Amino acid sequence: MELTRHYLIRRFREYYHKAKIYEPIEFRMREWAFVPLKNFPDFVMVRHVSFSEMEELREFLISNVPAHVYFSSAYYLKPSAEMDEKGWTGADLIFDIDYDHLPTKSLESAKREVFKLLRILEKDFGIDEKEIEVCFSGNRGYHVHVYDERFRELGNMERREIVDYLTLRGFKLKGTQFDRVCKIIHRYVRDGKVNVDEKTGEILRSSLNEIRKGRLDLIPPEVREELIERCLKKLVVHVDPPVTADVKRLIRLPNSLHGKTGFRVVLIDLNDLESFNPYVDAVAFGDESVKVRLLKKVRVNFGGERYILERGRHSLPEYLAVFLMCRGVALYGH
Amino acid sequence: MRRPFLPILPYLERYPFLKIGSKLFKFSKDEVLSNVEKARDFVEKVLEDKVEFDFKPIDFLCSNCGIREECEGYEGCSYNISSAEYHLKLSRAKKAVLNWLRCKVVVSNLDEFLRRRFAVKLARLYRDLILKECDDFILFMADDFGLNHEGFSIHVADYLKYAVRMKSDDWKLVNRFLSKGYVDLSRNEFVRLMEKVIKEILMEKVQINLNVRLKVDFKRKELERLPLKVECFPECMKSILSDLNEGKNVPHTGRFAIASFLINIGYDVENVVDVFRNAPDFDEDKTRYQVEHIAGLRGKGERYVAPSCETMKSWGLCVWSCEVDHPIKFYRRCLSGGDKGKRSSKRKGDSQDYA
Repeated sequence: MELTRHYLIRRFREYYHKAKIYEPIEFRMREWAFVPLKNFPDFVMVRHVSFSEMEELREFLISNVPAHVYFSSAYYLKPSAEMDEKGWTGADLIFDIDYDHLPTKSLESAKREVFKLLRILEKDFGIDEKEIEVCFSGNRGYHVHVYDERFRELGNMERREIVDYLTLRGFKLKGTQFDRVCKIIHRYVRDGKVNVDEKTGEILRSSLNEIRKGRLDLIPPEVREELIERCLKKLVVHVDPPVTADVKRLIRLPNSLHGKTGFRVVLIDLNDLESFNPYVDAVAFGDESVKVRLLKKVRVNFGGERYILERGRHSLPEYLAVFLMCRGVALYGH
Repeated sequence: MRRPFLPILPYLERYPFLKIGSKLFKFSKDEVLSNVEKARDFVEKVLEDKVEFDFKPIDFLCSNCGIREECEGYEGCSYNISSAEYHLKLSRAKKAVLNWLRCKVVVSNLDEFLRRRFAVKLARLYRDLILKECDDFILFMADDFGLNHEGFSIHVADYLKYAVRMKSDDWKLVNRFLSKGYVDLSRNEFVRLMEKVIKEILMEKVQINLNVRLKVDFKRKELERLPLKVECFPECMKSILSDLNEGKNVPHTGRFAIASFLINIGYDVENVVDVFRNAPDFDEDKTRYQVEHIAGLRGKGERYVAPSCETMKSWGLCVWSCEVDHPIKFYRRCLSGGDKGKRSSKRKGDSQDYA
């Protein structure tokens, strides 16, 4: 383990030497937190840190080489003080989409959720895309940061309302989201995608316009319930509620490394989001061969490439070796 | 002839808390403190529901002003009106603002409970008054409060700030029309929201100490003084309590639920801390710190409201089908109507709704 730890520290340090380190707005008002690699594989968090210069942050990263780096979504007058004395002045609006919380557990479906979220943030919440940043989290999903000042001072109850808007909690078939429901149902009826007998279908089609305007009472109750259910499944944006509601959340620093995968937390240009492929775009290490010992048989799906690796000695491309070491299933050296 | 702020003056007389009032008139501390008895009487009358406004609707001068082309705004208003008349309006507005400041000093020296009660009651009175005003003035008032709005549509951040505590589902954002950042409101709803803003303004404190003695002793029959009767707890809370007693590890959400519930019905911090003593990971300091937070003694100073039944369900803590929407309601109903709440309840699973 000693060797593995040293190897990871060396490789992460080299990364932070060269990396373009991300500078959040209001840099000095952020709290920072780190999980140093020196305790690897233990997770020990050092928090309540603050910096006044970017250079200080870089020096910190190079000398303390963290497995994980976080900064606060919140802005504080005294970011390094105790929680009660920090002087909270506001926080970015953040969203976490993790594929663990999705009906289909894949990064691709997480990306679809991000698109759904962005659309609502822009159309409904009127947030300019310039105020939005999307990051690959480095592991199982995406983070969306909203820097729009108008949302900064919202408390947790207010943010919870935004989550409810996205997840349709407390939805009573009214408002903009209801309009969307009607639009989808209208489309289903028009395209004959409703499971009813011919006669009912005929009647429904004759009242298409009314349905579009919200007259769902024209649809027989059982069919209506099922249709609404279908629409809701389509419309819900699966964000992780507590992350958005928390006004003092720590969130991963873009361009830092994720210590459980070795992946880079990538800030993604919205135009590139569709084509973003973490197995290409978030790989931080090269492919020169590295000797490792696997502690057990592993199956990994690394960007479409499936590896089934037996327990024991292997020479693997660096990115995969780092990934397996971070995961705790491989040790460095033969 | 310039008549600065002329269109606003008659409104300041009835809405002396408008921000523009403090821009227009300045008073020394002595002036404010010189005659607070009248203000105290007014505050008392508000608290006793004895205030009635008898202002008649007035025309907003700007709405029908013929010289709009050369208008330099309220500040540079040059509407034709005699000097005597202007100064009469000016002095009336000034008097109202001064009186308002005196009220503010009085209210600032009352305890939180009375301050809130005063603000809620007076804001409610203002709501009815504002509803009778013309649209132009209502929108002026919203600007004065610094609300980000376009007509009666209000920016979602401002909307949430004031609507989040409104109980009805109609006020939930998910049930509203929201487009490009603005929430559509009807005129009535817009004024309803302004009432909340006014309440906040009326609650604001000034740092001037004054020994205020009210003549009437106001009884505090608030729900936080409910008698304590464990038999009347809803099943979800009973179940959390018994798990805690048995030293089972209750999830964070459950701990929050029981703590906020107990605080809401009138337990004090010490009693609540005791509830957690049997928890396997009990840490007295940590627990007290968190309970104080929930009780509003720390942080932003706001007491947390116990989670609703819907939230309890989403946390997987609902164990019964009580036909209420809030555990506190269940408790109150049981206190007032004996077993009424209980009789209509069903064990979860008996009911088809929970298939």
